[in-house]
Formats: sequence, C-alpha cells, structure tokens
Amino acid sequence: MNRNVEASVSAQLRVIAHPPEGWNVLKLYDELVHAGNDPKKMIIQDNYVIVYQTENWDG
Amino acid sequence: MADNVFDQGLQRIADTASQTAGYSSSRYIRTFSVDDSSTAFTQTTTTAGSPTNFYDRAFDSTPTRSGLVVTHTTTIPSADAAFTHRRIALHDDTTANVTGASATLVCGVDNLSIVKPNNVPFTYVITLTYADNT
Repeated sequence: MNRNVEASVSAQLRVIAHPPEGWNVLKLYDELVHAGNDPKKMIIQDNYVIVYQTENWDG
Repeated sequence: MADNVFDQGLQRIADTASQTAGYSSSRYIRTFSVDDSSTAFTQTTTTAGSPTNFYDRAFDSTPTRSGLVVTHTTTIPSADAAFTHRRIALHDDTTANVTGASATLVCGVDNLSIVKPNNVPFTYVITLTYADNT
C-alpha cells in the first residue's frame, strides 16, 4: 500500500438557550445579556437563542 | 479560543476503529462536560484538572453522522450547571466514571465565557469533523 493517509479531526461547538415556560425569545435574550453573555456573539432565532458558536461551526 | 481533539482522544478513536489491544467496548465517546477552569487545553491534555465547578452529562440521544461530520447533543436542564462555562469537552467513558480528574478527555473547546442562568435550559451541540486532507 503506497497511498498516504492524511486525515484530521476537528471539534466545533454551538450553544442554544431555550426560553422557560412563559418567556418569549426577546425576554430570554435580555436575561442572557443581563447574566453576562456577550450580545455580539448571540443570535436570536424564532424560538431560541444561539448563545455562542465557534467560527468554524459547520454542523 | 482553541478547539482540540487531544492525542488521547485520537488514540481512543484509533483503538475503537481498529479494535486494537487497547480497545474496550465501554470506552467510546459517550459523555459531555462543562467546567469553569480558565486553563487552556493542549494537545497532550488528558484530564479536566481541578475546576471549581465541573458538570458532566450523557448525550440526549445516540450521536449521528452525516458524511464526515458526527454530531453530539446534550441538553442541560434549567436548574443544573448554573455557572460560567469556560470549557466544554467530550469524554470516552460513562458519566459514572467521568470526573474532573479522570483521564477520559477526547476533545474540548476552551477560553469560553458562557453564563448559564439557573432557570434556562441550554443545549450544547458539538460536532467532530473528520477531514480527508489528501
């Protein structure tokens, strides 16, 4: 066998916050910012908030 | 911020794929952890060390693979792990055996600052991407 094996493994991360009962997504966003999370890294979706994801997120 | 697959984790992946002498049917990627340590992971990291707060949990369901990407998902209930998450990791043993001191680390992401309130459930999605570099 003369074919080189050139493979790698990398890890990526996404963190999602779900609104508790009775909260809408905007209240969740405000609470997460108030708790100390960086709003520049947060993304509001329809019914959840992405708190953080790695730059190379590909999931 | 660094995302690493540690040498120890690569060894576990190799052992499992080829069922070497180091292979164990119970040792595969099966537990998620989060802790509040500011210590950076390195390629030779084997344990989480001694973080003030360490929390581990099994995956929500069996990980899935699409092409070369394997996805692992863990939901932390609202009342759990309410501290600043600075590192996340995957381990190759059961939750009963995973601790901050267990040599079970496979991969991890460090230098995070994610604050989990005690009334909000968080879902962590971690992917491992296997790449053919030829």
